[in-house]
Amino acid sequence: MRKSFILVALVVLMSVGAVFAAGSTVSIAMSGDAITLNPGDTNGNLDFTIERSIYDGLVGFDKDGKLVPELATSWTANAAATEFTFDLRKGVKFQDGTPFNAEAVKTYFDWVKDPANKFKRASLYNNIKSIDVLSDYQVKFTLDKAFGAMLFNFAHPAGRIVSPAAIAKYGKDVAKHPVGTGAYAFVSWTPGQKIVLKANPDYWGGAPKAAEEDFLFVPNAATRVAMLQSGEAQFIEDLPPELVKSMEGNSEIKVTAAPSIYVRYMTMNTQRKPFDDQRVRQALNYAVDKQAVLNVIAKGYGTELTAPIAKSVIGYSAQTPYPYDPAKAKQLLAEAGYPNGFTFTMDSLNSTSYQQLDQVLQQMFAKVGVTAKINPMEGGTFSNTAFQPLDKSTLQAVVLGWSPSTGDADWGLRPLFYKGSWPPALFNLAFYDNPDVNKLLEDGLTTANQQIRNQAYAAAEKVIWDTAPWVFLYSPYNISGQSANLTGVFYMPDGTLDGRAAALQ
Amino acid sequence: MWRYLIRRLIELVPTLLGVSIAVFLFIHAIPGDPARLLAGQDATLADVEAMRARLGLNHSLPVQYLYFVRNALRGDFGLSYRQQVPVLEVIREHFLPTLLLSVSAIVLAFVFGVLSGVMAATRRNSWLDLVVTGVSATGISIPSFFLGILLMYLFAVNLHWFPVTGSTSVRGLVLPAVSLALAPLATIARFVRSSFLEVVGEDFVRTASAKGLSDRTVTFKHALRNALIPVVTMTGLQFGFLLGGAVVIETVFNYTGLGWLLIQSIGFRDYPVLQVLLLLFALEFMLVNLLVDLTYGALDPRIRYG
Repeated sequence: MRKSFILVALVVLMSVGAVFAAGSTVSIAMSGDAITLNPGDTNGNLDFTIERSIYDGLVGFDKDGKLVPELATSWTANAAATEFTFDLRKGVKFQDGTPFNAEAVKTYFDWVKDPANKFKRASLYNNIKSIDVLSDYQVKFTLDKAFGAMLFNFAHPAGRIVSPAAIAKYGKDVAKHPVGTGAYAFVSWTPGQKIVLKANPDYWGGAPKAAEEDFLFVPNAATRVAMLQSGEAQFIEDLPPELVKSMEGNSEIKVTAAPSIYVRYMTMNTQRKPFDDQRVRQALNYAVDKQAVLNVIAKGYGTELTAPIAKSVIGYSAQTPYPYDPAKAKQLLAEAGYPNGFTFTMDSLNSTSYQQLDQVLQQMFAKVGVTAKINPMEGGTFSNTAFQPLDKSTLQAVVLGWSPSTGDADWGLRPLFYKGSWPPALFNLAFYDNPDVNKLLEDGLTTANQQIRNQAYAAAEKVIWDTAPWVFLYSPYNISGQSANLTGVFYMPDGTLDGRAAALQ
Repeated sequence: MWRYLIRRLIELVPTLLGVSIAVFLFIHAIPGDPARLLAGQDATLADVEAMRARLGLNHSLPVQYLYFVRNALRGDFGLSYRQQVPVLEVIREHFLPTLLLSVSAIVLAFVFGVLSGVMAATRRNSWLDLVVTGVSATGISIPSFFLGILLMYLFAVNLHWFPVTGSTSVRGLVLPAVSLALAPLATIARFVRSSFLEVVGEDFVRTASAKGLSDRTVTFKHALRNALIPVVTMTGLQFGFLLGGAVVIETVFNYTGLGWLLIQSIGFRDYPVLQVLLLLFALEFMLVNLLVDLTYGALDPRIRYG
């Protein structure tokens, strides 16, 4: 028995060899495993990060969340926000040699929105009625009805364009055979382990500095930190605040943090007692010391919310924060008929960071006489509980987070506060229904004029802030770790990475 | 012997069928909707329904089960919800790393467990015995993930002898294998020690010594062989568990084996992968048990199969 065990072990051991790459390779350790590299079928930040290096969109975002040209050099929209015309960059080639032009743009968006393909991001583009190739380098999109936020749908990471030749050759298998116009071209994918990319010397934005870019999949955060310390990775994504301390005392590595468009909050069911009373909801806002929450939970890596959306979301308008004032909270509770407080169930996810946040909130609520019973749930179970219509919903209050992937106020507000977004349709878990807000959110979509849109969103944010369907908490920073000699890899506000300019000094 | 083997193999079929029904009901009873999870929390209702149709979840449960059995009999276990790749392909990718890890761990545990058990027993109450008993008590008590993290910080982060992650090379196998091996090693050592001490007092051992055989022959040929029977049962059980993937250790070392796959698949409610994975674990256990039963015969000629 023993002999055969040893024999098997030896044979298997010998058949697996170690391969170590040399040269200027930048290894980026990611917090999960990639699923697809087809932008139109992607809904995870991790996949978007890798796609960022491979593909470009018509328009995109810079480091601060500002809209910038990529494959389009300029664009115009008609007053009714139904027609969007783009002038395209000339002389660009996909990594397979196919020229980039208006026909390629049309092929990609027709493919993504085709209902037969059932792509996850089809809904961003299925309002496009027709795509017209006006010339080799000019393309016009016509929508079925006004949608003022359309430019942001194009800037969405799902709007990054795949080579038409690859679409013809691989069809849906583009997911595993990505070809774009980006800085790095796809080389290989070892499922569960890594994706390897190599520099595209013909990149229109200038030849990349690192010869190779590897994305390693390492779900365990402590393991990622260890890899950075041992030099196996030069950049690690998603560094939890509680691990920041473990990075200290080593001059070869450093912590980097950047503002995000992510918001954390506790949403309250505005259709049910006790949260149907605005004074109760405001009281809980006064009961929370946001600065203390930030210090304890985010270790200072974040900012207090000053609107229902984060600062770098387009359409943000600053409101007056609810100060920490337990006396005022008690007074409001008494006015609402709860002089002795009440008890409610606080649903939440079961990750460490959420549970810590729950406990801090629980203690703060207890100080004003309100008892929160924490009910942590695994992600799948939670999603089942959340997406129930009001008559079946058990939700009282939920501690949650949201990140509008388009970077625009519409997707930061409409899924969360619009009457039409009540579950199961979307994510308005407060079952918030305010006629003014409903109207303003609709107004924001009837024009592509950003000034008019911003006014509508500013007004909506004010109403939402004052009526307080949420306890507004904070916007966490995206925290990462990296080698001190690495430049050019950074977090975008939406939580994806941009690693196109990676370079080792 | 061969007839026995064939009979035992045929007996696996109804057991597997029963397990497949239990597993099917079990994974569908976990709350959570794969269509919603895959479409994402900001997906519209239409996106979610499109995803449901794409996954074939719009049929009733019994119909889904019958489809599964029918396709499985043709060798088609469906596509992973998450990766859209055939399930067998997904499992194959993660099976080899786990096999490698569990075989290495069990070999380490068995060889060093038996050796230290015998050493402790033959030098009973010596300092060596004390060390082995002490170390094995620690080995049983220390959680493998904690040991894994300790080893990682010492040997990978500080000394750079081994890489932090496991899957990429043979060197990477060392730390996870050692972390996994310690607990079974300690259990085996204690088992061997007590079982050996029991056997050493028996008449046939005294007879063997009286015949003038050397100490070494008495120890290894007569005493150890008889002492091994309960140890083999135990090792088989441990091996069965290890083959199911060391969920925690694989996560700590980012070792992409079956335990790692199990966690990922539960998170996404990847029913097709879970179904086959759990069936595979059951099958492995049955086969290991069969192997253990066969080993008894090799160790003790009095045991016959019929």
